[in-house]
Amino acid sequence: MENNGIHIVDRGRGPQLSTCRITVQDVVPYIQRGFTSQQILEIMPVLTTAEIDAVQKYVRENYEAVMEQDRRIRERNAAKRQPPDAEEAERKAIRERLESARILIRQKKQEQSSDPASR
Amino acid sequence: MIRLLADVNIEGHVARLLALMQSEFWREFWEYLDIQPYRFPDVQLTRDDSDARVWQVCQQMQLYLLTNNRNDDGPDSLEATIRKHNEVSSFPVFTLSDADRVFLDKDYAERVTDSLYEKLLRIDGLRGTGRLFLP
Repeated sequence: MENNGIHIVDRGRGPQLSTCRITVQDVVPYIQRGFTSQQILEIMPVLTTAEIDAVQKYVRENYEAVMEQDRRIRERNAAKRQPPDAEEAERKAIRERLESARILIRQKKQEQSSDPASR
Repeated sequence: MIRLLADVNIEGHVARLLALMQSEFWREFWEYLDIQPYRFPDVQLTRDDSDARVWQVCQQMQLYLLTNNRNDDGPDSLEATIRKHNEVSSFPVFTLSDADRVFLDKDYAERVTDSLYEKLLRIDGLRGTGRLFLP
């Protein structure tokens, strides 16, 4: 597929721009939410308007296949997630570990500032 | 020092996370870990380099790549590269499970920040683990 000299190719990572390592599926979540090209550019500043146009054209022309691939990706990523209760418990545990680390960081900083050798 | 490299497909996402990581609440962690953000041009990577090349540069330059997980696992993919080349001392890759939510859900962005800091604090013990999934 060609658009302004920009192709959509597959190098083994799924359909992607011929000019950049960004894949069609990298952009799909924002197209699904109706983001404008300008909003997509703010999220992926490395892209050009012509490249976004090429991805949007590819999605329009291959809509069913692209959405099926998006569904598979979301399923794959969801399978890696824990149930909400376990996720919340893990988050709490992480926050506790971080607060313990914060105390240690402050102690080390204080030791360094009171150690004449470190000045 | 911890060198974080933003993949081109999530540069905007990483910029948002880095802003959170440098906020007043997290400032002492940022300074303690001595985090240095990098972009592709900083390390002679181009925006059309392959996953294999990106991974190799990360290993050579001791960079922790931040990327997403929306690609196929073909022969030249990051997944295949890690399977083929990962060693006990390899630098792992941080993978955002749901990158688009960084822009849409502040609570999610904060969870990612928590998880990233928690892993960075024990990063030496996580060498060789391949991919490290963030929420």
